[in-house]
Amino acid sequence: MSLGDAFQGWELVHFASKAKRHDVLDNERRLALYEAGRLRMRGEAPDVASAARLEDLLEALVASNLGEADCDRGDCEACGRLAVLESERPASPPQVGPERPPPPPTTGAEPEVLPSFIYTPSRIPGLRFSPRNSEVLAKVRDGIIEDAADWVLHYQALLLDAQSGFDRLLCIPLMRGVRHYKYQVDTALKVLREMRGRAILADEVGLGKTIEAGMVLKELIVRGLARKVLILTPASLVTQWREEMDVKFRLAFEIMDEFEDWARHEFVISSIDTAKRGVHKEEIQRLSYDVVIVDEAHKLKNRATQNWKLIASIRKKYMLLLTATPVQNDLEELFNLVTLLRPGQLSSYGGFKHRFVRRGDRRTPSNPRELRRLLKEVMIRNRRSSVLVLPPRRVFSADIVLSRAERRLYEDVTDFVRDRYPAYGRRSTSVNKLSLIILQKELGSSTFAAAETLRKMKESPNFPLEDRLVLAELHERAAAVAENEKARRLRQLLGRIDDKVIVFTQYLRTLQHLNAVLGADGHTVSVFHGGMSPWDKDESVRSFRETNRVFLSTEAGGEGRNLQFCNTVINFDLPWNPLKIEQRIGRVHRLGQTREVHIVNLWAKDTIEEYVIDLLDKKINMFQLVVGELDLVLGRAEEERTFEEVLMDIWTVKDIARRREELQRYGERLLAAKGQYESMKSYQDNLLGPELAAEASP
Amino acid sequence: MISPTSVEGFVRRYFERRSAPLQEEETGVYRAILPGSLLPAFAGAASVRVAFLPERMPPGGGVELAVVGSYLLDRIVEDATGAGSHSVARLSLGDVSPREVLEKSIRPRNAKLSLESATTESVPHILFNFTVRLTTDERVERVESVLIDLRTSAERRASPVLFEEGASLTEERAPDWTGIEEAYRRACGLLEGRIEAAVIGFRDQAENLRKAEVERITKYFNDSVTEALHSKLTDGAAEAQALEVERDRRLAEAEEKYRFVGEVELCNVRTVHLDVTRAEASLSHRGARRTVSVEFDCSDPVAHHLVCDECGIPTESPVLCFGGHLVDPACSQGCAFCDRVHCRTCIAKGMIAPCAECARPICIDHLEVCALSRRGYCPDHIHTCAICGRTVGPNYIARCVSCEQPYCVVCVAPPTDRCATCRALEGATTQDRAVAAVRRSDPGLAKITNWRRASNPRVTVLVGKGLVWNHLLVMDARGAVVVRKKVLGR
Repeated sequence: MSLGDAFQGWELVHFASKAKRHDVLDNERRLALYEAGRLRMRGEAPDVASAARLEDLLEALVASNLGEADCDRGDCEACGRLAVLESERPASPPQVGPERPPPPPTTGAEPEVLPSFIYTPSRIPGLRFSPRNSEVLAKVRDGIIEDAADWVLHYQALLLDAQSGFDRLLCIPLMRGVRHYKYQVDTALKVLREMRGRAILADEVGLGKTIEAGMVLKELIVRGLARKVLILTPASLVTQWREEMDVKFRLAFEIMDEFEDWARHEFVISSIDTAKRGVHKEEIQRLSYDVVIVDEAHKLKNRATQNWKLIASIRKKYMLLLTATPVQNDLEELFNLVTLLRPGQLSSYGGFKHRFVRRGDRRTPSNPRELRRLLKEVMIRNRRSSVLVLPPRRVFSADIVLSRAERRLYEDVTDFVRDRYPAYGRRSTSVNKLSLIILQKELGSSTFAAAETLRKMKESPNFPLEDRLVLAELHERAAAVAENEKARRLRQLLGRIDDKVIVFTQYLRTLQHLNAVLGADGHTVSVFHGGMSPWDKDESVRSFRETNRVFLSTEAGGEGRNLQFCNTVINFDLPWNPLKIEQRIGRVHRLGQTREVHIVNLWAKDTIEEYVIDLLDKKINMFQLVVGELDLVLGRAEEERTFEEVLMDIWTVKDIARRREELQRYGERLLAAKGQYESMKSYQDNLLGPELAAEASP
Repeated sequence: MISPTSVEGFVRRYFERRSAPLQEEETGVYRAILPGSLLPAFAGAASVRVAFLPERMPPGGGVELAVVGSYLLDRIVEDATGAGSHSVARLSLGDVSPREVLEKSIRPRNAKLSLESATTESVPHILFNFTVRLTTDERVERVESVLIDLRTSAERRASPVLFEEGASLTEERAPDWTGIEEAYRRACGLLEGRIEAAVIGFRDQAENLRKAEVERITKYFNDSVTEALHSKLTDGAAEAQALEVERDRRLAEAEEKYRFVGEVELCNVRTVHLDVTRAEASLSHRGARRTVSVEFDCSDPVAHHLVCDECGIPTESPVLCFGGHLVDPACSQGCAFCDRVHCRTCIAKGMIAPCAECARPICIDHLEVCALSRRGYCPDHIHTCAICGRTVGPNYIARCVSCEQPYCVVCVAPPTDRCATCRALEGATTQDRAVAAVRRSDPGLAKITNWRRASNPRVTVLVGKGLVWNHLLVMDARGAVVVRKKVLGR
């Protein structure tokens, strides 16, 4: 590399300026050096003569030991490199300055401030003028001139980068695929402005507390107020939280895996159970967080628990506690939750009892208005009735009698499942057990769906030979069934409905069959399933909105896609996970829906679907619950197994009387859970009142 | 100032400047093919797809949103602020005439403005762009610009044109920036004064919140400690100790949360050669004259308002006082009877005084002094006695009970309350012109032959003595009878 290539444009200009101060080059050569620097800063290549001239000029600088000369930039990298070049030359007497300058100091975090550029504020204590200012000033003094277009861009970038207070949310355009509502924006603004980033988000179920928390978090991050964030959730929600933060807010959280992750990553999600364990707890307590978010914060209602103590001990600047049920049993729960967020807000425990708790009644506050006033400072509770007014739902059940071939296949497959299911143990993760569950589910959808699974199972080495023989026979019979009673009923139904209809099924094979038969009937069908590209999915929704009559979908309609222009949902089959049914309904029964929503459930008599309908519709009337409530009801059923596992366990009981008895027992438990939930909801509504909603901030 | 909606313009300019202009690929989605120089800023990407509206973002991804706070904009801002620390600009006055500038900027209320002389020279200035960053538990940033005249270190208003690219200048020679240190310190001082109130307000708000939080935490934990010590728990003391430790931790947390951090960063600087015009102008009105010096620069060709000699506040429409002072209309007063105006200083010297009767301001030309009371009156409220010629105010006017004419109180003497004219009535023949005239005009009076008469410069008083009735007539200078009455004769 030639000498001329060793330096950037501004460095050459700096040398020209320094040469002037130290009177090293004559004026003409100094200007030539300056021009060469300017040329390089503009990105223009010098001609051969100019390049040679530059070499000569730099040789002259090296010879004059200018690099070693005192530089008022302090630790000047350019001069340092020039000095290195000088040291590689034969020794020559120093020509610049009476003394050799001290060696340049090591580079620290902050640049050295040139004394002549120091300004000490006299009127505003605590205000600091950045030491970096001298870097800019030195450039000016050295005559380093950059292009005006770059200068203007720089200035405009400053204006764009400057942020005002929380007068508006910067995060709104940054959210992806999320419909946000005014009450959510109001909530986020209230949390940021009035509650200074510490709040209990206690919206009723289904109003999007996660979205609100995400908005607050994103806003703090965008504004540079949050760098280290911890989200604590129940273990079952860890993945969901990570996905939501990633997809909706483009916040890449790491799920806590190894001990080092606490310090290694800035954005961490963990289950509370993991976080409260020995070494993890110590590490969390050692670190300092900008934001801590705790989901399902009603689990912090007891001050004596490890959960409560863990959250209380974390060092944090902002904290959001999310719960739809901030109080369930007594007022002490409320005290504990609020104290976690703002100790002293409700006084000490003794003071709280004295002010608010009646003797002999731990549920009814003695001074409800005062209590609500204090809660209003830390808690936001939006109520469905005030923010979302939705039209009613009507549920229709269409029971279907399977054809003889379908019935025989169903019974034989069910016998096979009942026979083999208990043998694979209680763990539903077992591959074979899982296959049996899927098979039973698919058969409830269609023989077309089940046939494919039967084919795979008969070929699977996981099953013993004798089972595979049975499976092969079942597969043959399934493949031979051509008719489908449910599809026939669906066609009849569509003939009677004039409007657009969404048909949900869980399985692609069923969807393909339905697509074929409905198409043959002359219906215009938009197909939507997980295997489609995002573009195709968009196109499918668009065609349904604009022209087609039937929307045939395997997924829950794709979250974020608006289908509320349609008001009829047909569940061709019923997922065993009630939350999936709820999601299906939620596609149309949401803000923007203006008409009564019709839900049609197709279910085959004397099949497991009858159990599903019996439990969910007849017992707890789930189709009338608002989105989100079902989870709270199921959570109160004191059942460790999932609904699906319970259902399968009951279904696989061979003795019919015992089977019915267990179904009855589980149904009663669900009914009791619903009663408890309603009682708790009523208590909560009475206690908290409507005042805690995030009405528009002033 | 750039508005939030200008993000698109900024991003487009950025990519154009970096030789990667945005090409529209589909509606609302653009692609920039990145040159090698941008590879570090964009993590080695060969191109970048950009949308400016969230609704234009395709669901398949692969497009970056350019809005405030987005990752793309952050990268662009970071790259853009890596260059352009210092540029030079020159602005010239061009075709703008100093006279026009003066006439546009100074609109005197009562004087004629004339340009006496004007000189224009190019003066180096430094434009400092600072970012002020204030942080407590929230964060506020603002960009402040200070323009300093390198000759005088005085601040000049930073006009928007100074922030435009069009003002760029390819310097043929390296300018001299020897005054940069002093200019910087001056700019810092001015900036500090400008932001002082906002910074203190911001800091005080955080301080109040901190105090409230510290108070709340302290009370809660102290009460809880007391409760723990008085509880029936066996380990109440240990509980109290734990609470005290927790209290201290929470207090430290609150201190940290509301800690005020204020930083001023000099982001970039522009050397601006501005044509500065210094003009001498005169204002004149009814003999009063005042010469003023005004200065303006070409970036903002408006002469600053002249400063009122009285209150020191700039005034848009100055008034030239008769004493030669230039003042704001609020600091001046005009005569109610002419266009003479005076400032407060002149008024204090008595150049304008209020009428003792109606309080209207009266200049010395129109002020009349009562010969008896020595008080000043406006022409409407001063009275000249027709008998003695004294000027008197309304309080020193008396009406003669006989002729009913007003005179000064000296000329209407008690106890008869008759005026000196009525008291000086003398016999007059019927040939007297005035007597003859009234006798001719009224046949009733023609019978009367016994007349008395007296005159003053305003009226003539005649008394005709009949057998029973005496007739009193008052005639003005034109001979018109202004008072006529009949009294029982004696």
